[in-house]
Amino acid sequence: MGTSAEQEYAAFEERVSRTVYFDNLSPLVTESVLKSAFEQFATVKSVTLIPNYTGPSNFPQCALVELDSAKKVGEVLSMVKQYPFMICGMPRPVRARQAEVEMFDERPVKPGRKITCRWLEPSDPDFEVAKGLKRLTCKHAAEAAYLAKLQLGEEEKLAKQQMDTLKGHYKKYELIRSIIADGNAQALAERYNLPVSNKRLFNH
Amino acid sequence: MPGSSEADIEDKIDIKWGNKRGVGGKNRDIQFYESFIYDGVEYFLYDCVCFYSSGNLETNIGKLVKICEKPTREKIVKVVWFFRPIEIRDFLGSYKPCWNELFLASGEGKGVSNFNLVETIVGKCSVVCSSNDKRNPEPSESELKKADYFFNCTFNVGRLKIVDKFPDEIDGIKVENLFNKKKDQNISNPPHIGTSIKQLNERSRLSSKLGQVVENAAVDGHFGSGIQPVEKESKEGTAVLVDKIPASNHKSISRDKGVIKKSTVPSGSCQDEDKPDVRSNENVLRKNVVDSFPYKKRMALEENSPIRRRRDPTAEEDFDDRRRKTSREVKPEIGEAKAVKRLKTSGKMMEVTGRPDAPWEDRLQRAEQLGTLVLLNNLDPSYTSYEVEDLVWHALNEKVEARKIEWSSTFNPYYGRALVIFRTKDAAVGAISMLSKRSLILGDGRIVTGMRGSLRDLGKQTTNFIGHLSIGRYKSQTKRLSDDVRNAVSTAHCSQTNTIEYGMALEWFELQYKTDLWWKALNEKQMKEIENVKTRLEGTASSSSQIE
Repeated sequence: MGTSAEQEYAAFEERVSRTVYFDNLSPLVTESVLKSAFEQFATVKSVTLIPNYTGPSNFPQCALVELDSAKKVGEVLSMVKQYPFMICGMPRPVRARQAEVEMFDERPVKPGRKITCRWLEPSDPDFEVAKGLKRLTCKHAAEAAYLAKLQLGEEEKLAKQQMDTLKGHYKKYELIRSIIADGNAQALAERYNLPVSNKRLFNH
Repeated sequence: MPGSSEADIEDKIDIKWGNKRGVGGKNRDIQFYESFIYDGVEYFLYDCVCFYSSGNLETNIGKLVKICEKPTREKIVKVVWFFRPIEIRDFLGSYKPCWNELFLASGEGKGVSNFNLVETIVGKCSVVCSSNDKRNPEPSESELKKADYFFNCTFNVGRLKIVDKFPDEIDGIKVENLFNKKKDQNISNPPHIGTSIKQLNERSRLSSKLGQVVENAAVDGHFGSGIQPVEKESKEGTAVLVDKIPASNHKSISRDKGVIKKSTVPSGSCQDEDKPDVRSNENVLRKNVVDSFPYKKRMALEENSPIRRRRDPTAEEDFDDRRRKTSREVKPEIGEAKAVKRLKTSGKMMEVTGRPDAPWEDRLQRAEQLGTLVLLNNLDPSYTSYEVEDLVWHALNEKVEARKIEWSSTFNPYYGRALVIFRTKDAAVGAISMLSKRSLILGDGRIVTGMRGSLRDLGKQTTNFIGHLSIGRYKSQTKRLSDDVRNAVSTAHCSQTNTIEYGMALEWFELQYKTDLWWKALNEKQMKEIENVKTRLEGTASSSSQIE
């Protein structure tokens, strides 16, 4: 590997620094939606949706959005942190973080890196330890899957709760609207001699 | 059917009936059979067969479920149809069909099955069912590989939906009969002497026909007119009879329903516009390769094939003339880009022996079906896909295709994972057992684990996103918004502090923060556990071999 590989890798790292990682995205979100959403703040160079092959299918989408400069990345990050930013629906906001190398599926090999490996036979003194590590790997994967499930559960709970609140509000407004529309509000106001005008009710 | 055609049919078609199954119909004057030999090929009940469809590049494929002869001597087969993905593209949703996938018709309504004249048969076709339904005899790997097409789901014409569960009956036919044939009754070798060579004729005939369309496309300059010769040919030749069939006898269901759109309609999630055509070319060409007949010989065979002899001689001349013209004209300068592109594709296909690469997602799904997909865990997360491929090559001596799974907020970032497609199931199983019996240790003391890869249901994408709410009459509005003006800026915005939405968004922030803490705690705990075990390793990097 010559200098060209190094150059390529440096260019890649530079690209990473200009990229924002988004998650909590609705499955309705597409590349063009993301592009137009952030075109308001910076020049969007590219958008990559990260495919979800193994996770639960109702898990939010993730995406990488490459901007024109690292400075813009900082701006977008702080904005999304400060103001809830909604794409393709509400009220669940998207979440953003600085992209890292591991978030890219296609990337150049880091120059000068050597990978080493060795087979451990059952006779090897380390074999038992290795077996322990393998078990740990499986256990940790299971733990992560479980926590992801818990998280989904929490999210569902919150969504449901918000839905109920929203429905309550909606009902209330519908009620107000209907009594104004059929003149009941007016009649009551007159009956009780309250200075309630149509205009004021509408304003609220 | 006009009675006068009786004599013609008698003259023109050579059909030998197989075993009789019984009689039926109101007057018990319809004869049912188990098999027949037409044009030198023996067809059995539940065989998959290609049919002509006039004006269409692609043949229609279906399963024979009834074979009978009417008192008027008309020879008729009842066919339960397969749909090509392109035919049901509007109903695929997010289902991503493979390039050679078909969907068996099911449900009630137009398009499940109908009666067709035997003369509209083009040839046999191998379609394997890859469903893991208990009633379906599991196809072997080689069967799957050899098959022209496979199907895993049905398409319910009533509900207009792809269904992966097979009903007990489709159009009154027990589903057992529609699955793969049981091994003992599988008659793959034509039982009659001389059939095989005729079958080759059959195939080459089909290929030359499809090929001709492509060629003509180049000659005529544009594709639209390229289709005509086939129609013409079918009018003059074999399918004088085709024309006599009432329109309903054709598989025009989908057309009636407007299911088939012109290929200019953007196909969305389905596939590239050109793909279906390419696919048919490719299919045909692949068959040529299988036949391995040189062009000339094939032509000679064609000349002798009964169907050609039957044809009107002038039409034949015309046809050959055209072909000679086209064969001389290797690269046409004329024509729309489309036609040229098609020709080029077909030209390229000739040289290719294997099938072209399907999109990664299709290959992934196929690998999962075939059991060649393995999930490697505990790799260094900074490895690239290439490096994983190198690692597998070096350690397991297997050439594979790998794809790293990207960083995720819901997985310990210490663990690097990769999906790996092995070439065969045996290799995949061998690799998994090797990794479990022995231990592959990496330079930094990681032990690689492997397990059979399983994907989430890629077709099933919920559009209902947790936490995105819509209510009452605003529901329809938001829905329309998401469908029509998806890329409008209005769909993305910062929340203003004086809205209900803002308060709710803050609740989400809170939850996100909370779950972040969960993950942090879990990851820290896991790292501690890993460190504890890892310190017990002794000579890790001492004698590792290096991968360049």
